[in-house]
Amino acid sequence: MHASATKTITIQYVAMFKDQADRSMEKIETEIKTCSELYEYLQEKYKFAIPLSQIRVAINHEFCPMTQLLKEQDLVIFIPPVCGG
Amino acid sequence: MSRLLVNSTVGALVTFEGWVRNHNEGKSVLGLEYEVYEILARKEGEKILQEAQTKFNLSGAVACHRYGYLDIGEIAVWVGTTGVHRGSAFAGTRYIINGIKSRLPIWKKEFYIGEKPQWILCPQNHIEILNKNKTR
Repeated sequence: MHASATKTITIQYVAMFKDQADRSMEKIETEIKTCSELYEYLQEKYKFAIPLSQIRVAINHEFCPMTQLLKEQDLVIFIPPVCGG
Repeated sequence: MSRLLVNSTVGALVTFEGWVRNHNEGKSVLGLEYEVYEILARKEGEKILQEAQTKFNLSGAVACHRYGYLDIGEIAVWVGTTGVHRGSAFAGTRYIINGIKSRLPIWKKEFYIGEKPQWILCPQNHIEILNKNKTR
């Protein structure tokens, strides 16, 4: 499948992203290619204040680089700066 | 939890407890709510424990982080390590709590008197990790 083809992905929102997007999960059909492009799209849509440079991402419950190509049925979770302890 | 680490071959147990305190950056805090991305936190937590065991030749290592709403004074995080001698256990416990704070996908929201609750941002944690990834 070509990387730019339309695919269905699920986005799960955590912490402040969940509050700002006012949802914990959504499914979208998109031609967006990479995680960083997806974050920029969501940043615009939900007015996320945290810059891309401070975000990590997990696909299907594994950390991955922001340049990772999105695939059909991926579960994407953007991870804002962590603050445990 | 230190009972999980009982072993007749070790000579030292070092534990750390992180407590919910009643103030942060000049504000009075009523309590904290922790959110955990559990699947990834468990995977990353196991890595931190294994790294500490190898790096400091620990005999044992256990850690636990709570989630949900916690009141002032409650324990939020517990870490314990054992070693033949105290040096490795002190170093191991420090390594694990630092890893928990900087690497696990856990977030906290602070609750105040007369103000809206607020997610606490610790961007320094991510910047360090992102910089390390760039140099790999």
